[in-house]
Amino acid sequence: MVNYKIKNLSFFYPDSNTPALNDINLEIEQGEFIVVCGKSGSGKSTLLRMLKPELTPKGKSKGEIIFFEKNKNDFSQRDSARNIGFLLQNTEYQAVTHSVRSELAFGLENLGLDSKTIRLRIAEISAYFSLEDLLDKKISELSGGQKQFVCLASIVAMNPKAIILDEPTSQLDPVSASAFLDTVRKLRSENGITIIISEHRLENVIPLADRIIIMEDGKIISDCKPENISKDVFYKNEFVKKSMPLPMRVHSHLGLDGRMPLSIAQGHKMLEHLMADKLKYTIPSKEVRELSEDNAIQMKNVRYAYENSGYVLKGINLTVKKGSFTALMGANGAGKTTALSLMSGILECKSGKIKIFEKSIKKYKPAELYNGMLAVLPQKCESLFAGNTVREDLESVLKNSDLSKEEREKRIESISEFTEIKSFLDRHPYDISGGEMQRAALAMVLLKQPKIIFLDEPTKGMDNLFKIKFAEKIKELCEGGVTVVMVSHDTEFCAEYCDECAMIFDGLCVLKENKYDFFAQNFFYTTAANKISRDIFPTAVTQGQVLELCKKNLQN
Amino acid sequence: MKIGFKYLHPFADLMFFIFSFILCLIATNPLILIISFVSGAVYDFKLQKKKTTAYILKFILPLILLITVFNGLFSHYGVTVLFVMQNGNNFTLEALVYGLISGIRIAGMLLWLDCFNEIITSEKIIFIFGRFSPRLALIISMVLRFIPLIRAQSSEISNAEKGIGNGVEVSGFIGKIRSASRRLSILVSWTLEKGIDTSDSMRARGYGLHGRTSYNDYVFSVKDALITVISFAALVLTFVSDRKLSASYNPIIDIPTPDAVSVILIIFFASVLLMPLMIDLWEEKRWSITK
Repeated sequence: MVNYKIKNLSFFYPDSNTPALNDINLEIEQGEFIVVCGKSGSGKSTLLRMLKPELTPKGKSKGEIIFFEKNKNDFSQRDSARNIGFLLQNTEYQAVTHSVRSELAFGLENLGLDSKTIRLRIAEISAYFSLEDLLDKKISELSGGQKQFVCLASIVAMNPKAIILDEPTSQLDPVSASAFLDTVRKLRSENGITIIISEHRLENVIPLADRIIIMEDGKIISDCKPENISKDVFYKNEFVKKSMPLPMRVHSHLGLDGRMPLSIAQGHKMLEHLMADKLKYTIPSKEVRELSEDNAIQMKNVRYAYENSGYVLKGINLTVKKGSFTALMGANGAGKTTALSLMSGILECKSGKIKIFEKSIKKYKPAELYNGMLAVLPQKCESLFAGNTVREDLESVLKNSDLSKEEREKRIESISEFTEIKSFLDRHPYDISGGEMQRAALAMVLLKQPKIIFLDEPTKGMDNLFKIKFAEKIKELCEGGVTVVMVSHDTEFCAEYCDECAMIFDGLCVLKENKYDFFAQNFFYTTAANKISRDIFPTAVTQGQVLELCKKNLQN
Repeated sequence: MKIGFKYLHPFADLMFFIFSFILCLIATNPLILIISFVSGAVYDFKLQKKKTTAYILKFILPLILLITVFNGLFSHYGVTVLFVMQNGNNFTLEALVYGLISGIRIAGMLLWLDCFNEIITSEKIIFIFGRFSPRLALIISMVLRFIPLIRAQSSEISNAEKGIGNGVEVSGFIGKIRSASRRLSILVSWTLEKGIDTSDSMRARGYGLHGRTSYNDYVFSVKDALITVISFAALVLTFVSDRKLSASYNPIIDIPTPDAVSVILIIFFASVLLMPLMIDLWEEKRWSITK
């Protein structure tokens, strides 16, 4: 059965003359796994919403969509609710009711099923998703990954023919994200449900895809099997060049012919073939930045326990050098965020010592600590914006400072320039995109000119193009002597841009090294570049290093 | 472990609590009130163990004492004068006893309320309201989802504000109000903005279609029917027997001498009040659950 047939579809948002979707032609068969990608603002979200009539945005559309062999007008709301599931990226607000059981029942109640049937469906679904242990829990007691699972389950319970997922894993950590995608894969392969998914973390999802649709400026610029993406697209499109999984990037950078590798295993094979009898150089060059001898932060034997739980930190020792960009990595619940909150004084250090610039954190007055000493960029930037314009929020940060009006304006001016937010200073914070909001939040953090900046998973939900831009800003700050400490799950980002990485496990810091030695020592918690090249170039951890060694060896 | 009184049908549980509250409210017979108090305390202890012990020692007993003493000090009716206070008022046995009985009545109600909170879960409340209005049931459920969400967000906001140094140096009343209102305004715009996702998620799953049903997980069994009927009978008897069993404390303490009927009535009330405990103990023994 054909799920969708789209002919010459264009779409304009109200008061906009540039099309958000431009002459889209698309046909989607039952049981296909389709990945839609493109940089933010390319129209992928709009396209996905056009595929779900209840969520179609307001605006003017031209062209035609056939839903499940029915015209748009014949395709009722009930048809849509029954046949098409739609999962959003926001894990918090998608869940409508308070408990897992009632959440699973919600859609079925809307369809008007009786309690007996609903009970049966819930039984089936909880067995399929292994939700039995969660069934009697409140939604608020679940982790982000579990919430997203429950939302998916509640959609699957309605027995849809197609499920549309709009960046479903962008708020999840890598472990939950890959477990989630695994379930999505199963839904397709075992139940024949059509999957249409948009993502910006493409590594895990591309090997699953039948088709990948790449969008730019509202147009589909490529629609084919992932291994068949044309060289043309790969070389010309900045987004594709930077965002495709690493094995594909290496393949195209080296200008190789033949089948494009999608997964780590295929990438590994490709390198083995390539280097078979040419291997001569195996040590990559490293750019290790000379770090200052001074310590910015010292944690000595710090322990911490939350109310009603055991120790999260069990006597951790950690030193952060002045002017360095340091990443705290590790699994969920290992204590990374707790360590960050203690260092930034958000949590009070009750056992052990924390020194900021060789002085105990307890000896600083709060006003002293948060005025030009420390600043924290929160994970959810929404928690900073109250004003009608971005400028208002920036001004509110400096409201109580001793600076004169001119000095304040000057500082806002220069920091807006630095974070590149000048073009939308006078817009409402909720009218700008997620990436722009994050930059505006960074500007708020920088206004007090802190010497140490804490970042809590800043790259969550960022596309690769924006990550590069963000990293450049952080680098500039570090070169200016600012110390940056970051909690992150993003191995690629840390390997590419950090100075030092620390592994937090079970409340202790088990490894702290410069990034190259750090990732070269890990087997599983490491970068894709290291994984595909481990047997050949044991110490290469970044894409740049792998490419450098490949080229050097191939030249001989 | 999903057995016992807590896992009965909501109607059965609710009917029992209506009876126990009404009994505490209108009974005047000291024996009935004491039985109600004791069985409430014992069942609450069965449900919450340590928490109840602390509740009784730290709150319930002092409350009874306080009510007794206050009534003795400020009410002066009755014929049995124990002594005359400095201000010339009589301190009477009747006032003291009435105070004690009132204290036990209130304490009994509070203990049953504690049990109620434990037994009548939000699920059951939603079910009960859902029988009258499915929409109301959904609203309650959404509110229950919203409260912890808002709480988590407000703590995130205050940490975020602290982290960029907003509001850490404010002093004085006006400053605090200003910084609190800023936080509230962040919370409101954030919640409204993200609320769009909730409404999208609802519409995407067919909310608004005609003929929505309300799902519930409860089956009304013979046992539930039996317990509902017993509780209802006890409730009716409470009203009917009120005159027969009633005691008065003014001007003299007059407790009717028990005849065969009233003994049977009191035994019946006692066994109904102890019913939840008996059900729990019986089921635990039956399924050999030891804790």
